[in-house]
Amino acid sequence: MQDNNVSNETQLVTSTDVNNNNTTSNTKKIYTSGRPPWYDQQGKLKNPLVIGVCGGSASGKTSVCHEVIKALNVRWVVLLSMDSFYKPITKDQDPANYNFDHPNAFDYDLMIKTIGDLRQGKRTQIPIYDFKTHSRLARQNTVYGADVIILEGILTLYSKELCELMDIKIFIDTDDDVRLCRRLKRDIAERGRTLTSVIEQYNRFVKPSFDDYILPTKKYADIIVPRGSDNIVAIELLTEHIKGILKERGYVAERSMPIGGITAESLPANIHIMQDTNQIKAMHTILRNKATNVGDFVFYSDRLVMLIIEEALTLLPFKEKVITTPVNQVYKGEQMDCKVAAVSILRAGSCMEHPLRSICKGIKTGKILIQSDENKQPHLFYERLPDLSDSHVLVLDPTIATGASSQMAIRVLLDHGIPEDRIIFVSVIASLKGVMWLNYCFPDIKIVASALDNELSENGYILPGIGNYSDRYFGTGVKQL
Amino acid sequence: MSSSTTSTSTPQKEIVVLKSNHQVKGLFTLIRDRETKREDFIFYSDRLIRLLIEEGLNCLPFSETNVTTPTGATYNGVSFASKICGVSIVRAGESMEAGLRAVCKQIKIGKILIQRDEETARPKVTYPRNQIYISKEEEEDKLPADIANRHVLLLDPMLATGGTVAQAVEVLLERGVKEENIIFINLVAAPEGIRFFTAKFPKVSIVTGEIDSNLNDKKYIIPGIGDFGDRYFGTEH
Repeated sequence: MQDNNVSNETQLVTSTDVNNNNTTSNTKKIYTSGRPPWYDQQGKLKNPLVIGVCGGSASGKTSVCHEVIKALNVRWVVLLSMDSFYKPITKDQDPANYNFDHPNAFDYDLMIKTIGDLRQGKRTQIPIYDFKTHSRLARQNTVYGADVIILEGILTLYSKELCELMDIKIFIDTDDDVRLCRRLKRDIAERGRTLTSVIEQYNRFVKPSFDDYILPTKKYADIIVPRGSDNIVAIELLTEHIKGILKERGYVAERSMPIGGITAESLPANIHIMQDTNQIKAMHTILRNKATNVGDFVFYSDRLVMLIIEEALTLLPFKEKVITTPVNQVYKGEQMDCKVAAVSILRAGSCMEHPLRSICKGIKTGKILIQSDENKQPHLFYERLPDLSDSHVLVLDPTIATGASSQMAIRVLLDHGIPEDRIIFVSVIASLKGVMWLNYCFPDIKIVASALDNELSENGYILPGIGNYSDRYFGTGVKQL
Repeated sequence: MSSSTTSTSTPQKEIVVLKSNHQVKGLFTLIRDRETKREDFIFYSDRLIRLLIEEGLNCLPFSETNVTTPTGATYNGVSFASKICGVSIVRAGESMEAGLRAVCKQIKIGKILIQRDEETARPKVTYPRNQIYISKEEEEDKLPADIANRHVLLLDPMLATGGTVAQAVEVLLERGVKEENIIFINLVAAPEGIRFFTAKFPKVSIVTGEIDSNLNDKKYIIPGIGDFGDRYFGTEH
């Protein structure tokens, strides 16, 4: 067999994971980190950069990809392996005599659709190919769009249609002898195969396929990298080139987003900051005070959040309803004219669920777990959503600081087909920068908060702020900062 | 017909009407509808009452205070500057206690029962004043002992003629509560009741959800909610 056994599942790696390697289970690496949307200065979604990496078996494609990803230092990279796109083999086909190195072994239609969807920033399901049964597993990996998408494999440049989706096509040109040596070493040492079987397979499938199908695609490559990942000069040049293209396309780092003279007084219409009554201010005074104990924090948080939810609900569509009162009088009233559901962003969002349920009886509540890494970059770890197809959705998160995790949550909802104008983001404290960034990316979503703080600290905390909301609500954490 | 603050000519001090929006209107629609089941009536009344209590608390004095947040920054806030208690007018006013407790932790709540005097056909304070059943000491227990030093949130869901609540205010004043320290919170008020009550007690703050059209000849509020206590406690016939 070919490269196939490198892993039995899709390898999805983001740049942060390459650096930290912290979420990997023993042998399999499955990272499905999403990304915030990538917008240009005009707020338009930009196509991500698609890179195809091609080369013979054991040419060092994956190593080159990892070196490039590390050097790029771009946040959202999706690395896809062609291995995920093997066609399931049928019952009458014998795996021992099946040519896994032939172009027909790959599902190019699915690859083209997948890369096409990812290019549009859509959520995409990547099949998981099981090399034991040579079929696809029922479950799939979910991948969100990225800034850079890399597809690597032995025949990535074989399909003309697939090539047309690629911005950069790379061929890794490693000497045949080196590749055979690597293969022998790897298959015998790591996979317990015999010398004879490896050589037999090499002569029967691997070499002919390389000569007939893989090598000829070299002419379609934009860049040919001899000697694989050892070629430091080539990787440096490649990285600089990719950086140049990203810059040209208007890639903006989130931190550098200009607020452009917006103040609390001139907010866009879709940002609703509640009227600053004495009660609300007094509750904020208790919640923000670092001396406040957990009991009081929970009580006043629940009380305040109830008011915020009531405020958020006023933004939903209503219709007229005429009723008769117990004294037989007609009353011209109103009635909510839509379904409402909620999605809380764990862990802090769950602090808002109890008050929500005491206002909206039996409301469906989905959960999304997004964790920020040490660079304040959000990663999606978990999502469990109800059917939201015809509902307005209240997204719950008590603080909007940089807005990065909020953005990601919204991205997840958009990917589930919920239009922006049916999303209300409900928060206790928002930073000016955070809400402006959200509004800039998603102008049609509504944001409701009970207070707007102007400053954001170096490490992304809202100032004067409230500290870590969920630690304070749940009484966890050694210290607040 | 409803929530029309402008249509009533109310010359007195301050009547705070809950800001009308779709939600508030929607809640009123639910609780005014005679078809609404009791569990829904209770649930949506409670929601509305919480909002009214929050609004009522905004009438209280506040003082400025600075606190340090966990980020080390200073927040210029405010704090509650007075002691408060609740007084509910039995029975309907008791329906507002849950809402009050949900908003004010560990609040003291006194009770006043006012019944119709069969001889004079006028409201008469039964409780805490009825000398036949209650000794002087027991009477004291029905309202917080230090009520004179507190702001009082007086609870009664309907302001119809204003007779009952006027009696209740008399009790409070007798106990030394300052008139300007009383905040009367109700869900629906009739213009007649507002006129009567404010003429008598111009310094009491009134917080209401909606101001209705008028009273009918049976002194029911039109369009009204019906008998709030009966609907809340399930004792309608």
